Amino acid sequence: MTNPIKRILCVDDEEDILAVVKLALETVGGFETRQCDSGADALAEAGSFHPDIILLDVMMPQMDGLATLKALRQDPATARIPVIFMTAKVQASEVKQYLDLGAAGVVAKPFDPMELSRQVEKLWKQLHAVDATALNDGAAPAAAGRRRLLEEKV
Amino acid sequence: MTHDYSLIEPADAVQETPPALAIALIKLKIKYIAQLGNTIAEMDVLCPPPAPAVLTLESLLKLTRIAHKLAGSGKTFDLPSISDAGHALEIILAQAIEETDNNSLSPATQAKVKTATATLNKTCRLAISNIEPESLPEVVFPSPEKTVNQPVVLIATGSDMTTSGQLKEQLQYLGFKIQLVGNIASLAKHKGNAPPLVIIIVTSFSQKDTSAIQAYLKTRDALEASSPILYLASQNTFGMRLAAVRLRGDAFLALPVDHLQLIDKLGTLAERSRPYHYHVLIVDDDEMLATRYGIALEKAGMLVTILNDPKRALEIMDTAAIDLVLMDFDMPDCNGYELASMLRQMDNYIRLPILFLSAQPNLDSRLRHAHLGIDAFLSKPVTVEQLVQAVSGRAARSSVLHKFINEDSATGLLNHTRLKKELVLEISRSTRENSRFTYALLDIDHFKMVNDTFGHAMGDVVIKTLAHLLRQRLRLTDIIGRYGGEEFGVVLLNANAQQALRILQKIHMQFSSIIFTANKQEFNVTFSGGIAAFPTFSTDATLSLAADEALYKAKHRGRNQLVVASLNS
Repeated sequence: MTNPIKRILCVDDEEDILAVVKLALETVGGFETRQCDSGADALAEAGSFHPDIILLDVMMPQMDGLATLKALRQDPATARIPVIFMTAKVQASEVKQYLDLGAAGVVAKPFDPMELSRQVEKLWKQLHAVDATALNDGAAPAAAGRRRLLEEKV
Repeated sequence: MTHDYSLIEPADAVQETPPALAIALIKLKIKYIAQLGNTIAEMDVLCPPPAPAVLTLESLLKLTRIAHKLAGSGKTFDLPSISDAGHALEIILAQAIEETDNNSLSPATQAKVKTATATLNKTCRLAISNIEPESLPEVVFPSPEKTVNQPVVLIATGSDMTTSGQLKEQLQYLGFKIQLVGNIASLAKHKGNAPPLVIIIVTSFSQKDTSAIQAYLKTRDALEASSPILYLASQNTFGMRLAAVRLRGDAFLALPVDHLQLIDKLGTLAERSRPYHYHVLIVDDDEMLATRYGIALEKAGMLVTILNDPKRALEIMDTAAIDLVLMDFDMPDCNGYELASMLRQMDNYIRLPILFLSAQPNLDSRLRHAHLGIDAFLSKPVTVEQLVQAVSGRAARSSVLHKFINEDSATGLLNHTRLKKELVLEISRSTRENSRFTYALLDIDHFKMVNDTFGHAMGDVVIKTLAHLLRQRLRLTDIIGRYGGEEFGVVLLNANAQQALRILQKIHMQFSSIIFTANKQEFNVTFSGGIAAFPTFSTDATLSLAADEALYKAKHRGRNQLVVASLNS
């Protein structure tokens, strides 16, 4: 059975968005959250907050979402935390790029505050379903399982 | 190419948002709109309305950032036009940037950029000028077909009995969703979204039936929420009544069932299991926490008002009928102890239940506060379940007393006195919050004739049926009262005259299509209504008068219609 999500780290350079995300995730989804307004901040917080998921905005000044993801993957303390991108750039090629980099999924912006928790939970379930599939097939890490599913779809 | 499995699109579902959450979102929306002024200024600098020289690559890139930001956020804050305009500008900017890269930004493209920027600018300005109450989200009234939580009545039939289909039809007109479950054993297997409002068991209390019922009752013990049981017995004997009591029946009727009595009983049982909407005031300076608690209590069926500033508590209590106060003990400006003491000094609030939430629950302070008659001390962090339990327990106990004082005994609606009070309260609140509401008077047509022709018992059923319908179709926050005789008063919050008219017209249609039967005769009943809106009419006197005159007009124009009062009548 899938463990429930407890903690989510939210990263976005816009204060307004962070406020809505916090409201949406905490009151509708009942999760515990923390907010960061930059990639650098996120790297610092992720190690101590131990989130189950990181919601990451792509377009941020200085260190954008992709760079932040790469950095997260390099730190063993945070490498395994699934990352969900939030972005208005949702062309299939761009999404593929994110997934290839190891993102767990993408939530399209502008998002609906009433739907955000449901979307996150859905991605979480899919993530664990894929892991389970990988396990059953005796395959190694989850990332490989995800890529295989991707290719099948295409 | 189809979407990737991992990309989730924002859904277009229309949901019923709990009021506390809706208000929190609106506050954030207003904050967002306030920032738009800066964004507009930025855009003006980058692409000034009068013809600029040439748009540089740098300004194009900066504009792209702005457009992208707005495209990705507008709709989240309930401003889809901003998202659309931002997206449109983004696309054009991408083209412009490409052209600039090749050193050949055409005048045509430049003009397009200007136009798109102007459009985006305009939508932002519009949002700013629209922060008026009129622009608040359209009120969505629940309609029976779409209500997810329509109360369900289950009918289970004992082994040697049969259930009539006509019964099911009649009950459905009243807005109940009837489900014929089959035999008694099937009751345990019934799964629904919520526990049914009432369970009807048609039985002869035979050995077989009794065992089946006992088995079913055992499965109910495990569940906290159990619905009342109405036994429809094959005979009206002492033995059967005893059996009904022993088998935990909440009501008993014997076959052949008197149709009127059945509807009556169902109505009573239904009201009993629907709690009076306890109004809770939460006083906590932690906005997020207060909102969470508010939402949990709303889900449990209560009305919630949230206050972050304790200094305003007394003012709020004066203008709203608060049944319980939930307050944070450790607020900076004025701690819970002081606030409670103030409340206890006021006659009106001596018996008001007060619950404290405290991060420091040592025994000493609890004893010290015992004299304040604090109902409970809950230590933070308190789980949402504990909170709901603590509050609901008190709600249940207080509702009996409340009913006695405030309700019309026949219908369970507010009585005349209380309704008038509510009207005054509502005027205060709406004035304070700069919102609107509508007051309507509904009067059953030819009621005297119904009584004379079919008897007072039937007249009673007609009254109760309308009462039930009003309760079903209006919202939790709407106020319904009975003025005695055949007249009802309704206060529809956050609705203007047109919105109120629409919902009342639906109820009007539904009511007139109900077929009442008495002495094997079938008949229909209609009502007339007068509607007056606040703030068009701004005092309780003018509102009442206007609604009354509109009702009079409706009667005079032939009855069976609704009339909206206008200022020029």
